[in-house]
Amino acid sequence: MSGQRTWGFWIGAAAVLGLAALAVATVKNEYYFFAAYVVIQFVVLATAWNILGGYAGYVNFGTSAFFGVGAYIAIMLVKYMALPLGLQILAAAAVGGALGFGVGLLTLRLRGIFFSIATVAVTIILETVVINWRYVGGATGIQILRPPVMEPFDSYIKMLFIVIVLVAIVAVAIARFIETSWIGRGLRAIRDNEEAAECTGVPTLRLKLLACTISGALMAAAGAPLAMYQGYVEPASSFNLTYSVSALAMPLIGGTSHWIGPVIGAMLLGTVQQVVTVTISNELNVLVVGVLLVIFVVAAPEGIIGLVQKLRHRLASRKPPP
Amino acid sequence: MTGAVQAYEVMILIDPEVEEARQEEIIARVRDIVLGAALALTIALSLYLSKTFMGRAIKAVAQDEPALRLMGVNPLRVKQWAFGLATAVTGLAGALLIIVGPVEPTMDRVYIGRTFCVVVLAGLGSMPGTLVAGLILGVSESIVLTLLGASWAPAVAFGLLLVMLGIRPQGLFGR
Amino acid sequence: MSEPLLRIDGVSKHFGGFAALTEVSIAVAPGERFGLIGPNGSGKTTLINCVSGSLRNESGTITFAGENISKLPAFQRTRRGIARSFQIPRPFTSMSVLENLIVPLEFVAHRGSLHRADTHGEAMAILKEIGLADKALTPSNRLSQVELRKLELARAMAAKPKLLISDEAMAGLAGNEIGEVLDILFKLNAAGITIIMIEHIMQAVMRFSQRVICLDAGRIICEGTPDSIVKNGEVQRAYLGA
Repeated sequence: MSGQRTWGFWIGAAAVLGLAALAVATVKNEYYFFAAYVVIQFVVLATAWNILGGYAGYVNFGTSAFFGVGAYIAIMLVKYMALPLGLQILAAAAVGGALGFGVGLLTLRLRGIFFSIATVAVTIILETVVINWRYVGGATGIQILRPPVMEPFDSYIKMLFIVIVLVAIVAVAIARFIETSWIGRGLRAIRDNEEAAECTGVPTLRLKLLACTISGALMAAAGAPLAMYQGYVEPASSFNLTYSVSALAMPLIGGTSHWIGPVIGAMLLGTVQQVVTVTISNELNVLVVGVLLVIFVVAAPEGIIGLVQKLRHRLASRKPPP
Repeated sequence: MTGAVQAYEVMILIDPEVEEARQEEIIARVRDIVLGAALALTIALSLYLSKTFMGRAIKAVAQDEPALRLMGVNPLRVKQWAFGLATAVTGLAGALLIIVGPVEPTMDRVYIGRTFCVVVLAGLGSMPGTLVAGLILGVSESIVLTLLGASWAPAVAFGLLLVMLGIRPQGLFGR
Repeated sequence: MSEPLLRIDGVSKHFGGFAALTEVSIAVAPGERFGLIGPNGSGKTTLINCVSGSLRNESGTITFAGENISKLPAFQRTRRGIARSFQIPRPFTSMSVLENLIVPLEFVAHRGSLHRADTHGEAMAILKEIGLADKALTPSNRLSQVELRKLELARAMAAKPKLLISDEAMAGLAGNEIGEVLDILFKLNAAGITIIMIEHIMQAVMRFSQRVICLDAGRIICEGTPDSIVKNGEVQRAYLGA
């Protein structure tokens, strides 16, 4: 990882934050922040998913579980202990990480399709447990009254927007670090050929567990502000499988080999979803995800990154030799 | 178009004019037919997979695709055929299902769980295993339903699945 | 012999009802050039899989450098000094040739001191030795058969092993290519690495090995010097049938 690139990344990140702050100061229509929040939230989820799903090749359908757990932890901390948002996010990340570790122990010994099926199972079981647990509100969930907004923000949603942008920057930074380090190389070896990786000294189970833990922590961290965004959590919506599907579709559409892929995919798909929700209907959302996913898996399995690379190659080979 | 969605439930009703005792008789008879059809379908599939060329090719493509290619069979065609066959049989199963109870679009979750559960419990590739596994699942769901109530029911299939994956990933009858 | 580097004691392995290995016992001395032959399906690769840790043997023990490694996961065995190449090459397809070697360098050879290691330079050195230096940046899914097999060996070498198991590295290669691979193996052995060679190409095995064992249907049927093996009636029968 060259020092120059790292500087470039952090300058870019600062620029993004600056842009977000500018938007908060100038844009009056709050609707944009509600929509942007959802899109950025998906950037976090897609990036988190890609750490295990894209880098290591273990397709995880359990995003909804970690996301929902994050939301629930956050809302319970607010309701019973009035903790500030920052601590909620950290706590959610901790629980998400622990859950990721546990789920990983349970499922990562299984290869391929069995792993994926097991992650669906964990999600549904978790949701069922929550539905039946009166302390966390059962099927009706928990509601809260939003605490008053902090300085210097003048509206709650603007504050949440900045928060989720910060979480996204952290998530992408972590993904980038993993990708360019020996961890990323080990994960790629696992994805290419797990048996060969194991015989070349890669501790496959440990690395997979690490990826699963970090992935879970980030997904839960994305879920924590949701509690404030909505003002309530309930099993049906917080554990909705659409989060799992979207978190999977976005990296596949954007490209799984590089950290920019999930970002592109999330921004693209997220924006399309918001537009569809406003212009047509909320339910058509899922259809859009499905159709785009099928198109990309069939026609462009390497995602948008892959298409860009192919374009670059074609342009490069067209250039006359110097 | 507004943003409202309604999940329509579809079911088969018996003519309310018919007297109750006869109604129950009809229901029982129809359920027997469904059971018989399901059994017949399973046996037919099992025979197809073991006795016909295409059926064995389907099993082969999972075990050793290059070898299959060397035998002059196009694995892609086999997979396409298998996919189509599976979808067709599932459609048939759905048709039988509606005789037994109401069907609505959001049921997919419930049946994904049950299908995966039965397949994992049985062990990949074992047809007789699926009958046994289906039985185990049905009985377990009924027990949980009676003891703990309907809100726990969705977790049964997935719970059994996880347990089986944990202790014996190849299933009860798998190799 | 003095303490063997690798000792396989009564190892058995079944797949369902099929007995792939039955009570196999072998001792390999440090620095030895050991040949393992046998007809197809005799259990050679299964035995290697049990030694490298890709498979678990059901009974018997495997001892390496005095330590019982029968229960260790494969990556621990590699870290203790056992490296293997795969019969059908398994490169890391998304990586270049060079990067394929950096994986074992990072995870085995330089585990404790990664920040100080020049993995790039070391990988290039290995590639030069094996004759793949000009393909360093080629994606590994674009190599020819010979190059793939050389990569398999190079990757095993990058793990700085004490024991290198070469699983049919020369299958399908032409005469001079076989010579190239054989030279590399001789060089490695001269540097102190114990080598177990599994091969079907008899001249290679006979030229290379100091001791040869022949497997058939999961059992050892003959053990001895290359000359005695070639003349052994049982071995001839195993290969030629009848």
